[in-house]
Amino acid sequence: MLKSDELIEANKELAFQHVEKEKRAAELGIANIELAFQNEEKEKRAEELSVANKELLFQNEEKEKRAGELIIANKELLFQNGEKEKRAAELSIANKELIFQNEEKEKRAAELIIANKELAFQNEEKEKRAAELIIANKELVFQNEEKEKRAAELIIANKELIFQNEEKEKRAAELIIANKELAFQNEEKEKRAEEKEKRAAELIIANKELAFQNSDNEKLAAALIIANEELAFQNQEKEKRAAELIIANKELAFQNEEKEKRAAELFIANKELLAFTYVSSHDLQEPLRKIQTFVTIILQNESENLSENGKYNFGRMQLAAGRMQQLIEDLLAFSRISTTDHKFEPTDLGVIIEEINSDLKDTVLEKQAIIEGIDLCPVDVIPFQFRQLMYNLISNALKFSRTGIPAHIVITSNIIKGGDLPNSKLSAEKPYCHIKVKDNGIGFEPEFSERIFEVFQKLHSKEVYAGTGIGLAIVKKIVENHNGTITAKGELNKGATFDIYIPVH
Amino acid sequence: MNKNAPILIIEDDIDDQKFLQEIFIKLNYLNELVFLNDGEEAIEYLMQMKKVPFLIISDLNMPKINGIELRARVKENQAINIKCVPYILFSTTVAKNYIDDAYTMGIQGYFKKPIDPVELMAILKTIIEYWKFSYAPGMYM
Repeated sequence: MLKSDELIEANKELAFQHVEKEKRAAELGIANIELAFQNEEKEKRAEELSVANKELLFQNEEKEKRAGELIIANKELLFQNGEKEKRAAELSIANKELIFQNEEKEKRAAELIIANKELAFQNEEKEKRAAELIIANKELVFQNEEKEKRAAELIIANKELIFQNEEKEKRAAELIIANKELAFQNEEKEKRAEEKEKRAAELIIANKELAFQNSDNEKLAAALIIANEELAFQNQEKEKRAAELIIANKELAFQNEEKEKRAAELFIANKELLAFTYVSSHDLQEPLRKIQTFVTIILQNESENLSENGKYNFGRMQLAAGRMQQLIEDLLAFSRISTTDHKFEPTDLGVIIEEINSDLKDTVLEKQAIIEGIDLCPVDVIPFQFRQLMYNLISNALKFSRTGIPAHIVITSNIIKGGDLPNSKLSAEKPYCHIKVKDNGIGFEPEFSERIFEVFQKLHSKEVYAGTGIGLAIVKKIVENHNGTITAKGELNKGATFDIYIPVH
Repeated sequence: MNKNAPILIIEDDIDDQKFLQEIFIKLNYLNELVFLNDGEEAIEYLMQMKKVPFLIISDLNMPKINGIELRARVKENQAINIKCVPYILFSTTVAKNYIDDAYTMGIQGYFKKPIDPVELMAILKTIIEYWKFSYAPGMYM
């Protein structure tokens, strides 16, 4: 029994377990379905992810390709930047060059504009002249035509007169015949007949008169024809001459252009040379000053350490350096004088002479000199250049005065026509301001009267009369800047005279 | 401006620096000497300078920036400009155009470098004694 109870219990238990298991199985079935559904979802998701992965892989590859391309492009850009910087540097240089060339061209253009204006003005003048010639020609042609018309009219008038004369002659002949007839008929009426004969004779005289008048008219017509021919010939000659003038004008214009080109070239070359002189002189001054300073210091501070010979040599060195300094300064002054862009102003020579007198006061006192300006007229000059000119002449006169004799320098000036002056270089009709600087110094031998104006030309050793030989070259240059002429007269120990001729405008 | 403030010397040439130094030793002033070797160095110094110098002496002919260009740059900068009086130029060259330009840029003196150091000493002494008595804008900074 117990056994069966236990079995029943066991069965119940089993039945319960079975039910539980079925429930569990059912739950598991549901869970399985759920899982199966989740699996399907996951597979779908996995597939989607796989697709998405492929997409991303593809995008990555694309991006890597793109990055590679960008790297290449960057390198290319870097290279291009480098090239552009080089190019920019080259362009910057080229720009500077162009700016410089532009400036040069603008200068040249300005000069050309002036030259063009001049040519245009000359052309206008020539055109005016040509127009006048054309008008004169037309006038002559018109006069010729008028004369020809008149001559033609006269010819017609002559023909008319000739015809009338002929008619009259015919009439006269008829009258003569009629007269003769009448005479014959009126033989007995002699008085009557005589009257008629008288009438006939008068008619003959009248005819002769007419004939004479005709021949006069014919002569006049002939003379007119000759005059016409002459005028026609003159017209032709004038046209030829006008044509020749046009050709000559073209030739002159061409020559003008060539000369302007040459002048422009020379102007540039001259400017360069002046700049060269100026810069080199300036740059030479600095090391020279230092040589001089060092020599001065040595002579001042090291004198006791030097032998007499050493001191002498340093002294000579100092003198030579001083002369070189003077040369450089004079060369600089000479190159400055060569630039001609200065204004002319009415200037009082007396004031200039007074200023120089005061500048040179020490020398004037030492030489017991008298500097006189007599009858000075105002003159149109470049003031600072003319001051330099007068300074050089007066200081020269003081320098070359005779020992023991007080220097006497007389400056006169007057305005006079070139023809009245003893100088063949002057135009006879133009007025000149003649400035004369005369001294009573040592003078010079007449054969040197031209050479003394040359640069570096000296007539005396530097030990006797110091100087660089540039002073009178500067004087001549200044006179030339004023379009003038200078001459020197001198005799040994009988003074020197400088004659300056400046054109007056 | 202090009478004993530094004296600035803008000079590229070592010989000229030496000449000036020896003269200043003899003159025995209390002012410190500051040598500036060229225009660029001078500008750099002037830009950072705190004190107002007693005197500025400049050479004209220097590489890169010459004395007149340097003065022009100083003039452009109002803060520096007011401290830079007196400003004196020394040069071997005394051409008219340089002198005109230099005074236009506001210098207080232009002197030719003399050959004789005794003369240079006399010039420097005159300049310094004069400016010890003279009033300048930098005094009120």
